Amino acid sequence: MTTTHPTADQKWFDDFIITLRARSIPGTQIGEALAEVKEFCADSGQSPLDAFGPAREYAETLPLAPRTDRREAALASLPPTIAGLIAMMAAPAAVRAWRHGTAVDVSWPLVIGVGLAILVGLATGLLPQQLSRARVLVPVVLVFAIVLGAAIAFLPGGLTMPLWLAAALGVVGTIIHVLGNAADRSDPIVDPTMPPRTRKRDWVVWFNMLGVPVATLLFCLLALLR
Amino acid sequence: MSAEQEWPSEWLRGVLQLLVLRQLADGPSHGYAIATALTEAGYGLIKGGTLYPLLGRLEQAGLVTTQWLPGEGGPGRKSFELTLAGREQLADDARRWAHFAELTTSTLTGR
Repeated sequence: MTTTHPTADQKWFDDFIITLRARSIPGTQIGEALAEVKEFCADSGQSPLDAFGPAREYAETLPLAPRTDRREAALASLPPTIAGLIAMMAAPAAVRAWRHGTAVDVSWPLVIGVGLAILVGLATGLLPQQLSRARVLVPVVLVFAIVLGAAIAFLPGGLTMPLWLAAALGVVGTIIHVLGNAADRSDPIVDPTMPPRTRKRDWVVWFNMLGVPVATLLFCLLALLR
Repeated sequence: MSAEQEWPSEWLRGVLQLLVLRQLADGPSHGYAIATALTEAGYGLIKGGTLYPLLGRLEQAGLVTTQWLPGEGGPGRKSFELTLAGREQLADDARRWAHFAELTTSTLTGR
């Protein structure tokens, strides 16, 4: 029998989870694999390292199937994010124009910035692995910054938009954003030995859902004051 | 010399699936009970890191089913039970193993 050391055991479990997450193994299966280790160690009195060997090597040997819906989940989060971004820009502009009794001015840098953000968002959803490599990511960010900077420097003026259209973009974009982010897309590690329970939304879900609308509201208030 | 040192790991790897299926033929069991039974039978220390990936493959192949049962004052237990396909696989493998062992013995002794 081996005396277990809580800190070393925790490090083993952390490495185990990280390796399985890196393999895109679903949280339910990670929870099951963790419970197997805990059960065997409790029965045998061995440490995870003694009973299962190094955490990363053991995690690689488990015959578990990775998630296949990761790309779909990333893509599903894009439309509400883009809608929220557009609403955050359109709504304060509409408030400002309403206050001054004018049409809504949309500068070229803003149009290009939103367009580039949408492109980067789509690219991130479609090519997550390629973009996660620093060699690709750094040039993408640089090109983004250069194009936006050039637009700000060389493209004065812009488009005018009817007030109702900007207001509609603000309201509809906010609604799409909130509804699209209401679903909890996290993949929690579920302990199979515990009874199933309804998960409460954690703060990350609330932030994803309400962060942009709250910011939009604040920008609208600032636009009213200016 | 312990049983673990006595049997080359290659031999155990080759026969472990058959031994685990045989253990489960007596009824549903859990990981540590299977490992302990094999150790007591003389096969040496069977580590969790060897046993559970094998049990996972058996489950994927439909040879065993699993069920989590509540633990008594400790973590829950994952119970493994042989399916009909598992019993058929055991019967087939046991027959072939007997033939293989007989053939090997015959070759080694020159009879």
